[in-house]
Amino acid sequence: MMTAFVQRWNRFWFEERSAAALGIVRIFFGVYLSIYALTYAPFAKTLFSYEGFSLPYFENPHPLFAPVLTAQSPAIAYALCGVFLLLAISFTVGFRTRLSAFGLLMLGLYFWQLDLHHFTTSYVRLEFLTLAALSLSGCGKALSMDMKRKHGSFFACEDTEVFIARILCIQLTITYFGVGAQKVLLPLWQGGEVLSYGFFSMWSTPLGWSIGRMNIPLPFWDACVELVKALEIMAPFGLWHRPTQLFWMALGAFFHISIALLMGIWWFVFLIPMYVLFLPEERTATLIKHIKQMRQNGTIS
Amino acid sequence: MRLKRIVKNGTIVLYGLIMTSGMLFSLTPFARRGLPFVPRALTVFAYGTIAPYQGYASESFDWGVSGLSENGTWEAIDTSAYEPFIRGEGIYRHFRMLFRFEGTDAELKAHFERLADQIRKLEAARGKTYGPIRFEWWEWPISPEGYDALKREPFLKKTFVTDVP
Repeated sequence: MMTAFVQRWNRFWFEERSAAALGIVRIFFGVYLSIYALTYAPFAKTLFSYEGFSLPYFENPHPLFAPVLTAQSPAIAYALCGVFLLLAISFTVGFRTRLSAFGLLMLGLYFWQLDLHHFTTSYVRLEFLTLAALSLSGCGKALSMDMKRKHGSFFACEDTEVFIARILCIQLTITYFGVGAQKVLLPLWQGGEVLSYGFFSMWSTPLGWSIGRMNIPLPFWDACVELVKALEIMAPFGLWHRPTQLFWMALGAFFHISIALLMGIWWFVFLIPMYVLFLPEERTATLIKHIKQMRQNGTIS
Repeated sequence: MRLKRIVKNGTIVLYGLIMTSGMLFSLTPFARRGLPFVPRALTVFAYGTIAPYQGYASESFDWGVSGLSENGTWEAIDTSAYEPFIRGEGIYRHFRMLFRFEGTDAELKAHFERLADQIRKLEAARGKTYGPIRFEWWEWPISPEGYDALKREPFLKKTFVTDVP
């Protein structure tokens, strides 16, 4: 019995599989990081230089670490933002993937301790966790320039251990389940007010505001809150359940996109492409085959 | 190979313990306790990956920053001019800058002095000279007309936070 458990454990965590799914996650996450960097880069002087509004995390760092723990000149701030952007692009296309990911992680931490720590939210933690995980993964072993250099084709895929992919799947599972479970307990989430007032909150977008103005009766929002809680608790199991996982993925995507449009909290959209890690290998392989064929047929460039 | 496998299994166990601790922390909202042997910083980090939206309030709010001008009057300073954020992010940051700084009284004083110095410097670059800087927390009623629609007297409730000479 023990041997059977060990075998199953090893298969679940350490099986060798095509890196295609990780490659897809890398591309979308890289695009996301590029867009994220572009939202801050034009304001590098204000956010990350001593001429701006930056209050670093460490107030009086040891002189040895001062160059990296205190804000530098605007020129350096802009240059480092540029480097971040270049690394995000090289990570996206899978050029020197591990090095790019590691550079992004280090620069990300640098910008975090200079200013972004003021905005310590769930998505920032998930972003760092994802980046750290991908920097240790074989995400450059598929759909990458690294593969083109090695095998002559961007679409070449090597096998890699599923360890990191599993960690990311477990993290998503815990995140959805944990958020749903807390909403069951938190007094704030016991009625529809959290949604109806939410449309008049500091996060609400013009679209959210216009829904708020419709004055929809509270019982509707009460029902929505119960539905959100139920779906968030069920979703993590649904993502693992092969017969229904596509439905749960579509629902998750709808949820994150709605929040982005109504509340302006768009940062969680990077979780959507990570659903591909839950898919069985044959599905991702078919997906890659289709993309490759479309490219060969000239449907996409 | 064997060592690698041991390290990875160890990572899985450690990750599991940290996330369990974060989950316990999140599911005990009044006690806020994780596993006793997991460092609090890691527990809080794990909790941070599963924290739900808690932004709803029955009032609108933001910080209020004023500076004592050369003619002796307190003038409101619009800090949004050098904050390139969407409204939610900006207010979230303001709240943290005023209320979430952890440290001794001396460190808190130094924190507000740094903040005031930055604001003075940026305002000076825009041609405004201020002496003391005042930080307040402003609240006003929600209005369907817009977030800032009632951000004016007599609806404003101002809570004094600190003056920095």
